[in-house]
Amino acid sequence: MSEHVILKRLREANPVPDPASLREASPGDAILLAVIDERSRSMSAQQAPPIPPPPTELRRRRPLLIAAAFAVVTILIGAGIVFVVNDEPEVVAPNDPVPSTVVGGVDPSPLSAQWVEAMNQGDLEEALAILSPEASCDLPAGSFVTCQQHLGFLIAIGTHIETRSCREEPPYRCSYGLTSELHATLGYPDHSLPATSEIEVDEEGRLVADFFGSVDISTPYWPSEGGDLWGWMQSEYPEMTIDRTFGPDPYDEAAGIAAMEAARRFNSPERIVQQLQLALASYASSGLGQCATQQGPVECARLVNFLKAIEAQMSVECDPETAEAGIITCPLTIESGIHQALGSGASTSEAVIEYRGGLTQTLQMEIRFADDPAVHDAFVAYAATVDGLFQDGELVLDGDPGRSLLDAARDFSGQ
Amino acid sequence: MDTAGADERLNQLFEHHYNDVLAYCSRRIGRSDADDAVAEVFAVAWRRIDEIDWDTIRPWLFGTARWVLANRWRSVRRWDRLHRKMSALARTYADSPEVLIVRREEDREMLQALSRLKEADQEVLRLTAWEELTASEIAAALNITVSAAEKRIQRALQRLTHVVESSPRTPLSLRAAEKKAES
Repeated sequence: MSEHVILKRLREANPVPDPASLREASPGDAILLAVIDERSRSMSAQQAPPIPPPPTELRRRRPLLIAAAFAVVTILIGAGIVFVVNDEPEVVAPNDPVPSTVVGGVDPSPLSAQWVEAMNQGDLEEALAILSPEASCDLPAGSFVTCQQHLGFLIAIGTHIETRSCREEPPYRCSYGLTSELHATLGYPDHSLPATSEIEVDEEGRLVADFFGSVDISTPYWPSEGGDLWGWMQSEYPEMTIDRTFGPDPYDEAAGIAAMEAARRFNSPERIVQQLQLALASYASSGLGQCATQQGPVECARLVNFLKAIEAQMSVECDPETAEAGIITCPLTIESGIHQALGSGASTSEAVIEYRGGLTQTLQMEIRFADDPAVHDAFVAYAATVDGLFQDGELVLDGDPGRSLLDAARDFSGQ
Repeated sequence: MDTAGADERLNQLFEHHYNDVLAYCSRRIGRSDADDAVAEVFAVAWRRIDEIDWDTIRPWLFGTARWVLANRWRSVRRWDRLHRKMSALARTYADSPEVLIVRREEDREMLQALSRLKEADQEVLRLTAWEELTASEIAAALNITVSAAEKRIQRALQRLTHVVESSPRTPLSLRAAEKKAES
């Protein structure tokens, strides 16, 4: 069956063959215009694609490629095999298959290896020179970046491509693994994205490939913690948010550079400390992973409830430069209602934060109720005699027992 | 912006292209959700009414509609989820009477074959066959070069032909086989 027939069948399968018929079921124009007017006022983040599409920097860099591609197309048109447009817009398909510019029987694996090497060296010019204009990237639907722009993104985030295997007979196909500095910066150096591409060689000796899809910069976070990264990037890096600059698709070179910078900041000890300070000041456990005290592991939500119940005021004074291998140890100062009831000043202990990927994996903190260890121990011994404050020999760290513990401190100091 | 003039231009835009944009969106997300997307498309047009190049307005509207739909899908966040959802959408093309009028079995077969292509291939074929855009208009809508658009169309068409011809023997592919046998 010729492609002409296929296209004709496809046109006949048009699910909405008569657009005018849809309008009968539409809301009135006035209503729709009112909606449009309302949205035009309220939507502030939306942008449309450029009008007309401006030539990209990459395209400007490669006028010869474009000229060559144009020449090929011109030849094809001259042969009468490209579409013809009539007065009524109608696309007429060719009766005969278009001669492909792909050269059969040539093993493209060496070319793929050259391309991989260029990419790994961060040489975008070379990578693009090896690549045929026919190459495509399997970008997500709605993507507005070109394949060439996407390669710029991959290089900008320090992608390292490893060729895992190549099929040595037609159809030629290679499988690759992609790791990146971006993921390493986010704490996942071994995070590897598998990808497969059919590869061919065009008549100019360039690589025709059907490359892997976009690299999701938030992987491996989604779906639970990914929102933290993305939300933070949107607030901290408004210039690279989805809507404002890059349309719906931030996967080009500029976005890659910004993403790397964002990842460095997101996973920096400075931001981790800031996040902990915020969590302790607001009794919020959302940014914390696992928590532990000198008694052992405790749910972070229960711990902050307890701290709130005893009216704890906490501060951590960390030196981010002391962070090593994703761990920061900080002096922790606590002053609570219990401290006041016991006539004690603030106590100082330690908080140890283990972080990765911009998230606090574990927070271990020592909770002391008095600056004098003897007073602390005496009070804890007293509390053990009060019903409901201890369970299995451990202090119950939760909201209501926290209030009871505060009352117990007042009773203890009145003795 | 001259508000009266802008209103007049928006009215013209609406009058001439509303049906096409509504059809575009209906073909992709179904009739019931299309109005909302269309409203977004024209809201963007309203804001950029002074910048619009009227010579390329139709592909620009399709490009914007494509972007609006992509943004809606993007709320799913993960590409795998997106692809799953899009696969589901592709299936509903053939299943939901509200979404589409699948008039004949061979239409159903063609839509199923189309849904087996990559999204990029599907899109250029839909723009070609259903929106009746030329290669240069598709280039404008997709923000690619004209030569890239031409090649993409051609390769997508070749792939669709291959899919149809290698599908199980249903009416359309049956005829293809019969025709091949005749020749």
